[in-house]
Amino acid sequence: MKYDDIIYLLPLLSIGVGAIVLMLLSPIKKFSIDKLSWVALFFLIVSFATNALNFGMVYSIAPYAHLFSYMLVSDTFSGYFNSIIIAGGIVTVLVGTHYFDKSNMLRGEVFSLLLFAVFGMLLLVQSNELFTSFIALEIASISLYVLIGFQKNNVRRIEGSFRYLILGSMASIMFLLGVTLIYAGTKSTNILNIASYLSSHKTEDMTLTIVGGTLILITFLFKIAAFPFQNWSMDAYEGAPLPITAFMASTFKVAIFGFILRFVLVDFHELKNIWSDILFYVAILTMIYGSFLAIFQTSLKRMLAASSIVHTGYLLIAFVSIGSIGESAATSIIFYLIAYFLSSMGAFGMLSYIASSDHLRVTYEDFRGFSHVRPYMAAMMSIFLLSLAGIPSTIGFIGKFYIFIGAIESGYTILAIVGILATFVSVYYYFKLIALMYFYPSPEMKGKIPPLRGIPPLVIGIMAILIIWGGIGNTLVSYFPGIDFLIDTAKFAYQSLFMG
Amino acid sequence: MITLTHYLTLTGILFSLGIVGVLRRKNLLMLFFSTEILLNAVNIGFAAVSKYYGDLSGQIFSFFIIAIAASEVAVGLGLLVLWYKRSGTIDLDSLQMMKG
Amino acid sequence: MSSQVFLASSIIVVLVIAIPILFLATGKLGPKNKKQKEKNISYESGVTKSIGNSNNPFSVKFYLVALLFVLFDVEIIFMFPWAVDVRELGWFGIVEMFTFMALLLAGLIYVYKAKALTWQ
Repeated sequence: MKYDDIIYLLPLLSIGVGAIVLMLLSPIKKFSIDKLSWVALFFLIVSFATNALNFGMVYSIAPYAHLFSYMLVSDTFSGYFNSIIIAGGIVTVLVGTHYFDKSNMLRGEVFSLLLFAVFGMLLLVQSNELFTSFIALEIASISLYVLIGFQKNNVRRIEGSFRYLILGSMASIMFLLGVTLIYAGTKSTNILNIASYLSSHKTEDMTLTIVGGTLILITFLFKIAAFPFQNWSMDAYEGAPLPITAFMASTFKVAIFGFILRFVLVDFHELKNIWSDILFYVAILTMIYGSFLAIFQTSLKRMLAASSIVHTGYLLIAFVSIGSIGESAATSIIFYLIAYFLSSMGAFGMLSYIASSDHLRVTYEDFRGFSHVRPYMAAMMSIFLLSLAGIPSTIGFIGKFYIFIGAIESGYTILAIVGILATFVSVYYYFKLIALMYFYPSPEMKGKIPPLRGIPPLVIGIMAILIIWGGIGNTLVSYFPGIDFLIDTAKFAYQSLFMG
Repeated sequence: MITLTHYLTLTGILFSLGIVGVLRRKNLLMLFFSTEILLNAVNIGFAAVSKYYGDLSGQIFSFFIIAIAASEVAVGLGLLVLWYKRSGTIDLDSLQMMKG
Repeated sequence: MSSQVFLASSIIVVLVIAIPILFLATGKLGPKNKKQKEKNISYESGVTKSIGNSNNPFSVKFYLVALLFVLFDVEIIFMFPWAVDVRELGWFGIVEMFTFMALLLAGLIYVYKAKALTWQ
C-alpha cells in the first residue's frame, strides 16, 4: 500500500471528518454557534491548505486505485475546482456566522450540514465514475435541502425546500436512468472505460449511450437552472437563508460544472456536436428568460437569483462552443466560474451581512441613499455589481470577454450577440441599485445598518479587492501574478483531464 | 425463459407508472411513493443488466440506490410532517402560495 | 453491444416516453377521487363496526422514530454482501465494515444526544 497517496485524499478526508465531528459537537450546549464556526473553519482551512500543496502542477493520479477501483481521481482539474468550492465554504462560514447568530437559527448543525454539502461537491468533482458522482450529487443535494428548510418556523423556508426536494429527486432519477442506459450500452460506468468504448465503436452502436448521456445532460441543466428547468431556483433561492443562497448560487454551480466538464470532455468527445444544437437554443432562452425575470424583481435577493440564471446562460455559450474549440472554451468556462464565484458570493454575502442585524426585507428601496450612511460598504457592493454586469477593469469583464470571443471564433456569432444584449439589459438592473445608493439622500437609515467592523466586512472587502486585482492587476504591476496566472492554471486543469 | 428484455420491459413499465404518478397525484405522500417506484424501477434495471453481463457492480449500485432513496425520503417525510403542522394539509396545491 | 441489450433498452426508452403521454392524453385512465363511504372506513380485519376514525393525528414522535428506523434499518443491506465474502476479504474487509459501522454509530450518538429518542 502506498502511503503518499493520502495527500491527494486529505482535502476530502478533512472535510468529511470535520462534518462528523461538528455533528457530534452540535447537540452539546457548551458549544455556541461562534465556537462551532471556528471548528468548521479549522477543517476547511486544513482542507484548503492540503489542496493547495499540489497547486500549479499538471498531474493526474488515481489515489489507492486498488481500494477505490479507479472511482476517485485527483488531478489539476479537480484541484482547481476543489479550491473554489472550499473557498466558498470558508467565505460562507465567515460571513454567515454573523447571520446565523443574529437570526434565530440557533442550532449548530448548520455547520455540519454545510461541511457535508462541501464534502459532496468535492467528491463530485473528484469522481471518475458515474455512480460515485451520483452519490456525491445526492450528498450535496440532500444537505442543501435540509439547509434551506432548516429554519423551520418560517413557512417560506419549508416550502422552498420542499419544491427543490421534489424536483431535485426527479432530476436525480433521470440521472440514474441515464446511468442505467450507459451501463447497459457499454458494460461499465467508469468514465475512462466509457471513453475507450465510445472511441472504438461506430456511432450506430452508440444509440443507448447517447440517450443515456442526454438524460444526464438534462439533470445537469436542471441543477444549474437552465431554461426549461429554471423554476425551482427562484423558489429555492428565495426560501433559503441568505448565506445559504450565496453558497448554493455560486458554489454548487461550480461543482456541477466541474463534473459535467469532465464528463463531456473525457467521455463524449465524439458526441459534443450532437448536443451543441440543443444547447444552442437552451443558452439563448436561458439568457432571455433570466433577463426578463430579473428586470421585474423588487427584492434584491430575487434579482440576484434571476441574474444567476442569466449567468448560467453565459456559461452555456462557452459550453456550446466546446464542440469546435475545446481547450479555449473549457478554459473560459473554468475562468468565468471563478469570476462569477467572487462576484456573486460577494454580493450575496454583503446582503446577508446587512440583512442580519435587523430583519430588513432587502429590496431596492432599502438601499436608497446607502452610500451616505456606509460609503465603504456601498463602494464594495458597487464593485460586485459592476463585476456581475461585466464592466471593464473588473474580473467579470475578462470572463465575459473570453466567452464571447470564443463564441465568435467557433462560429456562434448569434450566441455572442444575444449574450452582449443580455449584458446590456443586465446593466439596467444592476445600475438601478448603484444609482439608488449614490444619488438619493436618506437620513433615516442611520443606526439600522451594522457597522463596518468584525470579520465579515473584512472578508467581503478582500473579495472586492480580488475582483479589481483580477481586472487590472497585470497592467499595474507586471511581475505580479495576476489574471494570466489564473488562466494558465485553468489550462493546466484542462490538460490534466487527458493524462489518465 | 425470462430474458433481459422482460426485465427491462418491467423497468420501463414501472418507470412510466412512476412518472404518471408524479405528474398526476396531488397528494404529497403519494408523490413520494411515486418517486420510490421510479427508483425501484431503476434498481431492477441495474440488477438485470448486471446479471446479463455477469458483472456484479450493477447489483451493488442498486444497494446504494436503496440507501440513498431511504435518506431522501427521510428528509422528504420530515419536511412533510413540518408542512402538515404548519398548513394542515398535504395537498400539492397548497405549495402554490409562494408564486410571484 | 449485443442486439438483445439494444432491443431491451430501447423498450425502456419507448415505454418511458409513450406511456405517460398516453395516460395524460386520455386523462380518464388516471385516479378518480370517488367519495365512497366504504372507502373511507378504517380497515379492521373483518370487524365491521370500527371505533373512531383512522385519520386522527397522533404524536409526531412516532413519525420521528419511524424515520430513524428507516434510515438505520436500510444500512443493513450493505452488510449482507459483506457477510457472504467476509472470509475472503480477511482483515481488510473487517476493518472496512467496522469503519462503516462507526460512521453509523456517530449518527446514532448524534440522534441520542439531540434527544430525538426521548419521549416527553
